[in-house]
Parts: sequence; structure tokens; C-alpha cells
Amino acid sequence: MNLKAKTLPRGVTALLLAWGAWTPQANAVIDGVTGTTFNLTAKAGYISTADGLSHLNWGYANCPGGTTDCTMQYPGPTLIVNEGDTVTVRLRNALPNHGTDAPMNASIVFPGQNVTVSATGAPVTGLLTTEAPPDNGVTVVSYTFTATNPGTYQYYSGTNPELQIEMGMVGALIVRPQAGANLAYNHADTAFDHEYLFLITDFDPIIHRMVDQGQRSAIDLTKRFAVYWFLNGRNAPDTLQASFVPWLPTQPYQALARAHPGETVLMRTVAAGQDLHPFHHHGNNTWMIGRDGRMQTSDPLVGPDLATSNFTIQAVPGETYDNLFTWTGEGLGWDIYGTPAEDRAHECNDLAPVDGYDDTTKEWCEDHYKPIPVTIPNPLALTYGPFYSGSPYLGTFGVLPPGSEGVNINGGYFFMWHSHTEKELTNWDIFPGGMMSFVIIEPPGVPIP
Amino acid sequence: MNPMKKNPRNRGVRYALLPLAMLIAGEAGAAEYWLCVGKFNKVMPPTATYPTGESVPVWGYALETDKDFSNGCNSKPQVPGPVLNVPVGDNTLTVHLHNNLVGLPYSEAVSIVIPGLVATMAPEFVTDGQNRERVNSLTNSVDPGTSGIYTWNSVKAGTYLYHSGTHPQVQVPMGLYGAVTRKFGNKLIYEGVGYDVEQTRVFSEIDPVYNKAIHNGRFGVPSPNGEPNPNYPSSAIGYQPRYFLINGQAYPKTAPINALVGQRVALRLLNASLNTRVPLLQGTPYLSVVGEDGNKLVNPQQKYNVFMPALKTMDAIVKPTAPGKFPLYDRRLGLTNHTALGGGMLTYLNVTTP
Repeated sequence: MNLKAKTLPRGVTALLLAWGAWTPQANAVIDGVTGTTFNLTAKAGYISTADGLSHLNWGYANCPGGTTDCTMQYPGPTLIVNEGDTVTVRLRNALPNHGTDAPMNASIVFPGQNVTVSATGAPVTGLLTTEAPPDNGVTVVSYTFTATNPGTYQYYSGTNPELQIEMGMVGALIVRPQAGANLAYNHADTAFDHEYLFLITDFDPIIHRMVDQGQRSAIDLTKRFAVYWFLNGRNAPDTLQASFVPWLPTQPYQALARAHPGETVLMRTVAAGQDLHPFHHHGNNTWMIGRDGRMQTSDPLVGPDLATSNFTIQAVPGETYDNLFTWTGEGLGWDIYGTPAEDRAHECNDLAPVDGYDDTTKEWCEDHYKPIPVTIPNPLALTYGPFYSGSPYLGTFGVLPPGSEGVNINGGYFFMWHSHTEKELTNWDIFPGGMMSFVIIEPPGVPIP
Repeated sequence: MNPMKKNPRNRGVRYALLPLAMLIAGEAGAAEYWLCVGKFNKVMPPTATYPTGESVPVWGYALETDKDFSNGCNSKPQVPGPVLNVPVGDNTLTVHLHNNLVGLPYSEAVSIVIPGLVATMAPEFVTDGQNRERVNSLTNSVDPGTSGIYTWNSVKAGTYLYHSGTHPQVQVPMGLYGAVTRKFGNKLIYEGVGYDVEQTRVFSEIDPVYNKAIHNGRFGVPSPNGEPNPNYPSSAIGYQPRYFLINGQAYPKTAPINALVGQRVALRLLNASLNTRVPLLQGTPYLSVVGEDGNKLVNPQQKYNVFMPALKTMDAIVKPTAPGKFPLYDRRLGLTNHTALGGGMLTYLNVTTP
């Protein structure tokens, strides 16, 4: 089909300009660090919550030069490696004292990996792994493993994880399969067009405050009560901001997904906190093709034949999930691109192989030119949310009432992806916020990195 | 709820079952256990507040090895209760239960139920203060100082949690739970699922304030000033565990799991906690989760952790390929002993070279 020029999204030109400086990275919008050797340093810093407060956090900083002069981030750097790589993560510990509380040891564990440890300096034997004492980088503990199996994993501190996970010492590990970077696993049925990370954490600010004030010995973790919930270390609405925005220097990773109709999104969900969260994705069911870095299969040659269809990921602490999401207008019963009566003439061309969709726009041809069965109300009679373009049609804009926020710059469809434990949509009792983001179904032609 | 007044009409139901149960218990080859329910003080790991360990009143099942209640209860109650293994070839499990909660500030009738195994249930009711009839026991109970018999006739291979079916919001936190195991055959945990070493681990919690309130008869009693007070609980809504146990012990007293390189270790995991627990085994080949709630999984799940809501049982096989000391711990981070870090639900799989 060809949309008339006048109905092309008005934001496209602006976006093309804005993104012109980006080097196109096909299918890669999970920000992280690549390679086989990583230098991380355990450090303290402050994060911002979306209610305007800041909190002491401990986390892993990416220190490529092997120094300790780098910035703590929450979550830690997403480590992106390739199947078969021998991966070494070198840890230094620059955790500070807080008041009269001595700094703690630090370490990293990699559930699902078979890790061997070596060290220089004065390593300490811990309960879960070898630890680095807080000597500002004198001791270097090296964790080495072979990335044998592709998939999504997590890492976190093995030193009093009951405290240090709460304090922020968590991160994601992604192992790309040998068969291709656009696959989740070594099978064509795990292919994706875009991938996004959703690292889930929960957070009790009182614990962070007590650590900050040197009151660690007075903390009672059995009375922990989380009041903040994060995706990739941010609360809504910060989750929607781009990666690496300068006003969130310790929370670099965005959590906003975008796709065109018919494209496949790989959701890499990492349950890194300690509470259970129902991560609910509006828009469509997904196929859960992987858990804990293992394709859900009866035989790897046949692909993810044991995948399950769901609309809520039961995020269990320590676990990871790979889900495939696709959205089209199929089954809506109306044409998402409008009808000639609204001056929205277009075609629906489903050429071989015939699959019911327009080959380009992924319009569901059975519903071609069926009008939306709703009388669109007078805009002056309504209050709109910020994500409504003023038109029900994809890539189209309409008149918005005065005062509308109008943040939908491409005329896309916004579907909320969020914790369905509704209280987790708050930032310390302020709604909206918390563990919430969106997938935007963008009209064809809108560039998505 | 205060000491209970049973509805008399249900007494008849209970005793009517006895002759049948005794008849079945007399069959040859049936697994038969004598259990006494008793109270003892369980010493928790030392903490800053309790340098020698907090002493918490608990109720536990004891294995009465002389198979005779007429001379009293001679074995020590334990939390969790003894593992009730039903040998291969037996389809019937019989439990003779004696309630030895006598001479205490507070006691209750008790019972035993096994979710997942079929039994004739005889629920008991009480009449509350507003004259409403309410279920108080999921099956027939035995009063303090008396005995009863419970029978399951079609025990199938699997792992099951047994617990008191009477006033469970009180009696499960007090410690009345344990494991039932039955394998499919020689070195088979389920049909076609082989193993070399079998280990059972029951995860559970203790809230010392809750248990002390129950022991001292303050459960369901209004607090002196009428305000909500954890020392006078009216339900389990304020339950707040402070100790996190594997087979009744917190780290560093948890018993390790010993195995040799190449052995197939069958892990029977049970959650008797009131909260979800997530055992995670770090550093070995993946767990092959082969059973859930006593049912063989059609497709084993390859995982390093196991999602275990309250009452869940899971069976997993792990085959370590190298010697080492591999941590097994709760990823929900029940890793404290009261306020002390570095304890709780942590143990190790110790693998050595044959």
C-alpha cells in the first residue's frame, strides 16, 4: 500500500534529523558493553527516583581501563558476549565507608555459568564466591567462564546478596548465538527485529538511607518493605527517556520498546530483585521461548516447540525470560490505516506468500477499509491522555484539545508494559510511576534504531 | 481463634472411620508410622540480640520408634517432622497420630493431611461467636492426650508435603509439617527418571513472636489496650518470619548435600514456608526439574532455580561434572538469621571425585 503523502507521520522528518547522527545498528537497542574481557568496579553513587528524590546505591561501574575512576551505574553494565567466548570479568572494589561503617567486600556471581576464579592481591573466600576486599582496586578478582549457551542471564553480588542486591549490585548478561545476532537462540524460529532489556528490581529506600547514614548494623532486612520498582534502574516516567541522558548519569538504560506492525520484538526480562512481579505486556500475547538462558524445546533442532503463550511474565527472582512479541491489527475488525471516507485511501496488497497481511504495512487485509465502529467524540468533550495522537489511525494526527500534552510524535500506538501488581506503579506512594514502560507500535516508515 | 469447641456431630464421623483404617493398616507391606505431636523449644542461630540463640517454642511431629503410644511419647519431636518414606511396592501409607500437646499453657487438637494424595476427608466445624459454622480442621483431628489413625490408599511416586490440617494458620507456622517420599522403582524417582543419590530439603520459616504468642495462649486474645499488637495476633496477617530454615536449620548449621562427580543427585525440594522461596543452585550443570507436586513432568525443565510458592514440591536431577562446593540458596534472599547477615536458607552441594 501507499499512504498519501499528506498522511505520512509529521514527526518522521524531525526524527530522521534527530537520528541522523546515530550510526545505524541493526536490531541493537540493548545498550551495554561488548567484548570478552570486562573491568568492573564496585562503587557507591546516587540514583534519582522519578519522584525527585535521590538515594545512595551500590553498583558495578564499567572501568575499561581497569581503574576505579568510573561511574557507578544501576543496573550494572549489560555484558554482551557471543556464544563460545571465554569471558573474563575482572572486579575491583572501591566501595567506601559510610560514617563509621566499614566498607564491605564485593563479588560477582553468574547463575547459569560455570565460573572459575583467579585473583591478584588479597582476595577473600566468601559464602558464594571469591570476594574482593574494599581496597580501591589493589585486589583484582577475575571471574572466568565459557559462554556455552546463548540466552539472557543475570549477575549480582555474591557477598551478602541479601543486602547488596537491594543496594543495586545487579546486571544483565546477554549471550548471542553463533547462528546470528538477530536470533535469541540457535534456531530460525527465535529471530527478532528489535530487542529490549527489562531488568526488574525492587527497592526499600529506608535501607539505602540507613546505609548512607552509617546505620548498617541497625538494618533489619526481615522487615524490608519495597516502595520503588524499576525497569532497567529507572522508575516511570524516566523509563521513557533515552539511554545515557545526562540528567540520569548513574541510570543509563532506557526501557521503551518500539516496533512496526508485524515486526518481532525480543523481550529480554531479567528478574533481578527479590520480590515477585507480574510483568504484564499489553498489545498482544508473547511466546516465552526461553527461560534461564535455555530455549524451551523438546529438541533444539525443532526450535522452541515448548514455548508458552502468555500476557504476563511471572518474574521470579533470579530468573530470566526471553519472549517474542508481535503486533498487527489482525482481528480488530477495522482498518488501522483508515478508510477513503476519512481521506485515508490506501491499498492492501497481500502477494505470495499469502499470509493475510499487506506485505509492507502488515495491514490485516480482511479488515481493509472497514471503518472503526466508534463515533469519534468531539475532542472538546474529552480529556486525552498524553499518548493519543488525536486520531485512532496509525500514523495519523487529529486535533487535540487545548492543553493536551501530545507526546505521540509519530501517531503510534502506545501499549503499556508494566507490573500488574498495581501498587508497583507508584514511586513511594506517588502515582503514576514505578515499574512501567510502553511499547510503541510505530507507523511504517518511522525509523527505529 | 480461641480453644475450639468441636461440633459434636462430626465426632461420629471421625470414629466411624477408624475400623476401616485399622483394617487397611493391618495389610502386609503397608508403610506404617507412629507419630507423636509435641512441643519443644527450638534454639535459633546466635544473633547480636541473642548471643546463644533465641529459644522459640515450636510444635513438631516425632517418630515413635516403639510403635506404641500406651507408654507415652518417647521420641523427641522435630521440625520438620520425620520423612515418611513409602517403599516401592507399597500403595498404602498409615499414620498413627498421638497428640502429646499436654500440660502446656495452650494446646489444640491436631491432625495430618497430605495434599496430592487421596484420602477420605472428614472436615470438622466449629461454631464461632456469631453462631456461624466454620471449618476448623480439614480432616478429623485428635485432641491433646488422644490418638487417631490416618490412611492413604493410593500413594503414587513423588514428593509431598504433609502438615497439620487443623487450624493450619497456627499449626503450620508452629512447625507441624514434613516430607512424604515415594520413588517409582529402584533408583528411579519417577518412571524412566534415574538417580544415584536422593536428598530431601524442606524450606521453612519461623516467626518467633508469632510462635511465642501461640504458645502462651495469646492467639486470638485481644491485646491489653485493644490496639493491634504482634504479641496478640488475631490471624497470620502480621506473620513476619525472622528465621529461614532448610531441614530445620539455618546456615551455618544447614546440612550439606554430598555427591560424587558424575552421580545423578535427586533433589526433593519442599516449601513449608508461608512465603514463596526460590532455591537457586549456583555453578553446576543445570537442574533438570522432573517433578512438580508429586507429578512427573512430561517435559523436564532445564533451570538453575526453582520457583516454589508455599506448599510446592519440586523434584530435580543434577549431575555435577566437576568437584567443588556449589551454593544452594534462596534467591528471595531469606539469608539472614534475625538481623544477622550471612545465614538463613543457604547450604552447599559438596561434590568430590570418586
